[in-house]
Amino acid sequence: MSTPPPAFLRAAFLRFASLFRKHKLDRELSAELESHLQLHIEDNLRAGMSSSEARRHALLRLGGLQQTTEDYRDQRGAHFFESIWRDTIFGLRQLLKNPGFTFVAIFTLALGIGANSAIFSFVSGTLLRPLPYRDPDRLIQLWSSEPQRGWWKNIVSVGDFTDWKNRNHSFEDMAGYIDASSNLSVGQQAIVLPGLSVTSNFFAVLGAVPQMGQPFRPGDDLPGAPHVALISRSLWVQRFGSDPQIVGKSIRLNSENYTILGVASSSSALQTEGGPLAQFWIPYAYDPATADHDMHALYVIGRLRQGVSLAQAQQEMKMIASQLEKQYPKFDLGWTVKAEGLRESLTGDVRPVLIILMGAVACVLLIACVNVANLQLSRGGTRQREIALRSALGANRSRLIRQLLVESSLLAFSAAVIGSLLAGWIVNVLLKSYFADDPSFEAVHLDSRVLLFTVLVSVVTVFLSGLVPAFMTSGIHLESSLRESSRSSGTSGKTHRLRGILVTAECGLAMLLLVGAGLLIRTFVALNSVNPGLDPHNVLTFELSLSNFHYKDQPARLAFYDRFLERLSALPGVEAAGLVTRPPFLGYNGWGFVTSENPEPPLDSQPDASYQVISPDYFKVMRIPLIQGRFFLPSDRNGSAPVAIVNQTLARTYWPGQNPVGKQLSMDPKVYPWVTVVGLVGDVHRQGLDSDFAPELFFPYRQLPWMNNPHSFAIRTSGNPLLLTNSVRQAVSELDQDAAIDSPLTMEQVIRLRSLANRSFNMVLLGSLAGIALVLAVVGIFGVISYSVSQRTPEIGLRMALGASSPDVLKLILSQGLRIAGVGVLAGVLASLIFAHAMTSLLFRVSAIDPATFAAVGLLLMTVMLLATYLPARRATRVDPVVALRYE
Amino acid sequence: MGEKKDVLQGTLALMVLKTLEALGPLHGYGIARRIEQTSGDLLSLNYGTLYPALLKLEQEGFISSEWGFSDNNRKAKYYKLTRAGHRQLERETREWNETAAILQRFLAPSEER
Repeated sequence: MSTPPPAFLRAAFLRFASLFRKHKLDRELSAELESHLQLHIEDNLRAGMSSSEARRHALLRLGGLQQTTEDYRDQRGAHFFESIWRDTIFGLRQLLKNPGFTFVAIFTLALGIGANSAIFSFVSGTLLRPLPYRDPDRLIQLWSSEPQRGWWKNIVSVGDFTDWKNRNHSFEDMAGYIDASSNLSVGQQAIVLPGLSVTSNFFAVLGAVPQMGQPFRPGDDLPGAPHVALISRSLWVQRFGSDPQIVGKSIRLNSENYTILGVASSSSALQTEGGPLAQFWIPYAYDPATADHDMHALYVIGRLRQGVSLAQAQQEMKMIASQLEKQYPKFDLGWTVKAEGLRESLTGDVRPVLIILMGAVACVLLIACVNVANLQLSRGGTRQREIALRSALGANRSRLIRQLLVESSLLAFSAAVIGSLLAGWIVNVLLKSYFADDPSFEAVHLDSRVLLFTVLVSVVTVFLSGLVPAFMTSGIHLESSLRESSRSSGTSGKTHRLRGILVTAECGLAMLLLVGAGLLIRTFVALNSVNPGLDPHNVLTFELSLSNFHYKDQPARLAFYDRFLERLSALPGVEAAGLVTRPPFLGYNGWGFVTSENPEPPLDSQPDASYQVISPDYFKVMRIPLIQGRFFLPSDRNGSAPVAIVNQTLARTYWPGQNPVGKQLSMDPKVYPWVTVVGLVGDVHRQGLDSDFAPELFFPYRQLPWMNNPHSFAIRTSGNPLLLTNSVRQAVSELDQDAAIDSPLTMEQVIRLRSLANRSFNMVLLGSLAGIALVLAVVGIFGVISYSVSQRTPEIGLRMALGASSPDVLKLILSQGLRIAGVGVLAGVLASLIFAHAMTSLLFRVSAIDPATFAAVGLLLMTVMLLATYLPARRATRVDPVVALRYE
Repeated sequence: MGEKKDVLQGTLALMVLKTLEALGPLHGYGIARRIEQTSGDLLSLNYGTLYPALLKLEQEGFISSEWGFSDNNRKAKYYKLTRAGHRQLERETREWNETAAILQRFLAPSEER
């Protein structure tokens, strides 16, 4: 049984509904009043009155038909809605009468609302997006973490993963996954298909059900299990023509056949950090009994048990980690576990930026509202007589405020429509120019949530931009405004003070945004001026993807690399070609080692370096300078004395003050030979321009064994490197039809993408917002000073008549502008100091309270504000005292 | 004999409800007359104010109306109490009595302690 709605709701509904039965209800009321009169008249006649007297008396007691009808209709609700409608029509007429004001106001608000909607689209599509899995809030990403060395989020060793999984009580289950991109042969060439190698429970943990076929079964991930795969929906559509009989057919990856178990639904795509969306999934073959704790090999996700909090899980995982430290000190000493929500993990990088940008657009909207409020206040001045007249004719104050708010709503909602169009455009441009292939942003668009947000913002806008002017303008003293001319009434002084305060606030907000933008610009400049340690011009890098099937062992690979490097060097336009494990900026490959001086270091201070296998010409391709000793030679091969090259940071860290050439080191003296350092090379910012130098170890590719397979190449070209992409592809497929080239990029592109793109996004966005804020603030101060000059014309005339010179008048007006700008800048500085800590994570080699930036931005703002004041001030100096005084 | 009192704000609704409870279905004029008579002609009711009040009560669901014929065969709109109206009358009566009792205590000659 449903309870009846409360009486007031029912009444409100009926009042609204009565709008649509207006005429019928009006007729009914007349009939009812008529019958009342007749009954009363009959009574009066019975009491002995004459018929005319009886009627007069009855009418009198009813209190006037017109008034009764009005009261009745008021109660019926007709008036409220009817008058809103009339206000709307009247407001529209008012706005159309002042196209200039209307255009400026709508445009200003549209900028503010549009910027908010655009940035909110990003927030909604990333930070607020529910992950497309079952109960996504219980999905947790787990990292191996080594706080002492600052490795907060490391992938996990299979041994640790197995122990975590078996020992914990917080998670229903844990799954591991790792990139397994493979070659798919298409005609004469092969393409690299992004894919993941996953433990068999991967889909169960995510809670994703294949749209066709079945997920992996337990045991599919044991070594020696038959090859099976799930494919993505898009692969199924594009490569298999949506074949309904796909289950049971096979797909050839890296020259091996995999039986297709099913097609994953479009929402089970999980990517590795920064990687593309997976197109297929194959089982990650491992034996839990012999899994090692050395090699960090898996991303790990877990599904929390119902009712277990993230903090509780983190607590338990820490305990398990400390057990593992004792059990496997050689590998796990110093390592702990970091757990975070999967969504936070996927959006961690953009969070601080988006939060700051959200704040920035809020500032811009505030400034826009202040400007429109100001415009309305100055219009209120000229509308005083109209408003005074209306209130003299019986409009009460709330009625006048309502009228003015209706006009503000018209402005705000038109602005919201234009702002949404603007936001759609901005989002498109930003996605195209910065995140074209980044699947993390695929959910960013103007959806219903963004539209709802836009509506809310517009409502806020109505009150921010309309309430103050409505109260100020409606509170006019009747007699004084009707009597006096509109110029010098008492309220205009109060209004003017208020406008000054508003513009000061605007100036402060602009200062805050400009400081933020200034700091980001300095960051970008600082980053650009970092010497990467190599010469990125005319260098092409790419990955070579060979199937493990044909090149099972390292000698086979080595032989292929020999032939391939020879082919590359012979290509026209190639000056030198080199092999490298991973080019700088494209990842870090850490490995432990020992020096002969300290062959058995304590477990918690094992030396560690980036491990690179290179061909002799690699340093020439990158133009990394040789400091001491020699580069590798073609003769550094299996059978010759094992050699290595180190960078300056490694030499400084492990052989401080000594010549590294001639020193000995080993990856593990029990297993691998001691190698002699033959060369010292310059440092490279391997992990990004904003990172510190790290120790690096280089080994010649012809001396096996490799700790892991190198598969990247770099070539130095005489012209545009990208023009060589096709001949490189051809060279590969001539050697092996199943081999493929992946992600060909110039070194300049690599640096831009990996080290500069995010910074430039931050800088361009905050810079644009600060620019808008500056323009709006200039318009604001210009408006206020102009208005003030026109108000003070008689006063200025008087001053000039009493002997003030033009410069005196100029000074008078300028000082007014200066006061506003000065106080605004100070407020902005204060606000910037308060918000400094939020900026710190986005900055590089510049402090969040950098005095130079503050000073420069403050100076810029003051100058621009003064210029905006100067124009009206000059008009003031041209006041003719005679005219001005007569005017009074 | 003093001058006539105006109807207190908000008490009109209570009087209407009570009248309808006592007399059953009644038209607007009848309600107005009854209120005047019950007050011993001490209250002067501006009949015009009655109709918005009736509409409000109807909107709130405390009374309902339909057209009918008076004793001398005139067409008139008759109002009657709904079930919600009965409850509302009880509630308002109780509240009014409480208020009146409190005021009584205030206005009673103060006792010596």
